Amino acid sequence: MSLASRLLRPRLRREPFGWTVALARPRLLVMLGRPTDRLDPAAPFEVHLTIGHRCSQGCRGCYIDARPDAADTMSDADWVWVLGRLARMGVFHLALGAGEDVPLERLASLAARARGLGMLPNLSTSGRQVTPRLAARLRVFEQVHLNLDGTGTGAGVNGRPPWSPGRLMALRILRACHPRVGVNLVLTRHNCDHLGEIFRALRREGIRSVELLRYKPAGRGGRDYAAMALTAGQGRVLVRRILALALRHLMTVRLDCSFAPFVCAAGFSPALLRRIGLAGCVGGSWLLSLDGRGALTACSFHRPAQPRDFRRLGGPGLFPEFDDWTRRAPEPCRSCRYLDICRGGCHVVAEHVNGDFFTPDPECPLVRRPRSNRPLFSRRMEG
Amino acid sequence: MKLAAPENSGDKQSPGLLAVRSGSNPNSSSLGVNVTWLLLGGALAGVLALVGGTLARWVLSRRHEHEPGE
Repeated sequence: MSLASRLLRPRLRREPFGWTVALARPRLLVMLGRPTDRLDPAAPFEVHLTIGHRCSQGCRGCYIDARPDAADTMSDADWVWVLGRLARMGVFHLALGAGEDVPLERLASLAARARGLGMLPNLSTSGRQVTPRLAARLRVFEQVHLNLDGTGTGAGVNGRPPWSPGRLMALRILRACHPRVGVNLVLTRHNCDHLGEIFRALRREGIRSVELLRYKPAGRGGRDYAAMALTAGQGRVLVRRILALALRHLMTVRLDCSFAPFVCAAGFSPALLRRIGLAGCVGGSWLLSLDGRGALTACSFHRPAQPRDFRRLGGPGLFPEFDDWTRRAPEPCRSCRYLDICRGGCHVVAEHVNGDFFTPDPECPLVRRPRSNRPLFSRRMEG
Repeated sequence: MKLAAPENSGDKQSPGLLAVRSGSNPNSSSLGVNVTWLLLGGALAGVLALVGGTLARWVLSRRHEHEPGE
């Protein structure tokens, strides 16, 4: 094996649009082929695995509705079968998570098996179980992100101080034991205006990677969604503000797929957004989700009336509602130049707020002010 | 490697680089994209605009110098 192959560890996958090349160092997914409006791969690029729902933390906005007495049906043998199936499908990345009472050792064992099958496993955790010994075991994960909701001592997203001494200690242990540690931060109207302070505090802790997540009306998060969602004003300036903070603090910032409408509304050209691989709702296409109850869903937040059984993994036409959304897109999405990138924003938010999955994301700045997405010339003409 | 054709360029069939996603998503609930590249994209556009503007001014001034009767 050549030096380049050993460093890059490339994996190649045939796609309907051409090829995807996955590199391990640097971690890149490169999509090659003939330009097309929709980049739909032959198999998901990544799969989210929620290994178990058992948790005694009682977080107010828990999107998986984890509980101390939660019953999971997936055994380790089932998960091993799933990993083998995903590897045969050609999945590149896995993101593992679980309720905080599920032993991280169990997740690390599954991650080791995934690595052996050629997939890159990543981990999200609240860090309650993290000790120096366990943190060393977590090196099997490519990247570890600690869930934080802010840095103040006041109540965070989940009703507890987000920057508790325990959480801070977990972050420092992880940083000492793992080369790639970052932070997941759920953005709400309450912490959005404190992003500058949060970035400063994270930089002081040596954190260089932040993933910002939109608060979702899933699980217990649906109860007080209206009080947590970003305001229209916050949404309008969000992306420019985040980019300014990323530059000032030299941080790598990732935005989750539900923020795609906000990125589109920031005015970047569709060509540029396609090139960086921005994707809105690509549930069932770019990603899939599986949980400890054996439910296979298009994304972790979507709760269909009849979840598909995990044994159907890799089968065709499992999520027609997600596949059909852009074809059935209503206005103003239908005439939006970002439709094939954004794909209507977060359908889980739309379903919760509008009561209809097939409606535009109600918080998209371009839906709130559709005129701002028309070409400048026609706006002037309408004067 | 040839880059994907820009929008409405009429050259939509030539194969090339469609997208590059950097990093791997560590979050187990939703798909993330590294938006820091937008800064680079914006900076690159700014640099190109600056270089292009300077070049255009230089070409125009040269042409002005060589006009007869000047």
